[in-house]
Amino acid sequence: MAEDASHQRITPPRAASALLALALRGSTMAPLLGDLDEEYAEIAEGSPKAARRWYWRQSVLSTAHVIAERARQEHLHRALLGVAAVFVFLHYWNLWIAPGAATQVYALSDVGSYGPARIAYFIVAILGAGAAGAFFSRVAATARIRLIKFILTRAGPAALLLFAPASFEILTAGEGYPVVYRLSQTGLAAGSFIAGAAIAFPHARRP
Amino acid sequence: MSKSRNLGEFEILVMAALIRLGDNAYGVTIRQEIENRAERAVTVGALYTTLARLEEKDFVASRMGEATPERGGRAKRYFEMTPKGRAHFERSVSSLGAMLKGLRPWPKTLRTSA
Repeated sequence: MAEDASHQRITPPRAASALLALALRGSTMAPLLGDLDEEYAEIAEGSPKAARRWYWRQSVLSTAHVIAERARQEHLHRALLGVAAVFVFLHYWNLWIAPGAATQVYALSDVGSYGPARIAYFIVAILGAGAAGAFFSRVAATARIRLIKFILTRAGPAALLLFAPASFEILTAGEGYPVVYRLSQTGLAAGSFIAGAAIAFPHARRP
Repeated sequence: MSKSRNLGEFEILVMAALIRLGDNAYGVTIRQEIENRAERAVTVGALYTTLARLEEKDFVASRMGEATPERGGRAKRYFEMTPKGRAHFERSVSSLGAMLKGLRPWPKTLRTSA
């Protein structure tokens, strides 16, 4: 019984180690968690409460650090840009290109709608960004024409950044614009979408 | 002028700890060495991401060690500096030393007290 109590005392908080294990991957996980357990046992000999506090602090800060490092390495901010781009494109599609069918789809993106259909709208948008990103990234990787590469990797993202604020203005006051203007804006939106999607998955550029 | 990038501050601390610890350099001892000597709080996450980065650059090599009960049966991972890492470490420390040379006594702008 006493042995059980002693064993309980040196067991680190499972929730904290589970949190950290979620963020870790590959060969780092076992030695890192082992290091934490080893130090936890040392501190717990003096004060179990301090040891728990130390373990939680290490787990939370380390999880944040590991996630931030991975985001930096994998360019997740680019993926977010890609997803934002696909939303801009879908809004334009709804407004100008397919206004009949768009009435239904556009209603799904309304802030007031929270049903399964709206969830489907989000899923389609995100999957669309991913699929298009992989496709256009592959095109960029294999393109022999320098202009295409330039558009996909440099000019496109710049256009996306420039166009994003304007798109919302057009969305709110688009009804009075002439067709040519709407089409040109749609072209810009499509270009933004392509560019945003292309930079969403930079690793797909590797042959 | 060499194109290679100098090591960052934390990378230098980690590399120095590896030299000091020799064959006994693994997560716990490296973290404690930096905390005790540099008086700087270090999380295991920060340490391992830095070690992974250094290993990716071929500045550091690692090998798996023994598993012990107090580690929950998990093995230790020992780290050591590679010759390439040592060259970069020495260059970084030399650069730092050259910049600091002759600065003592510290200029007024660097003093914490008046």
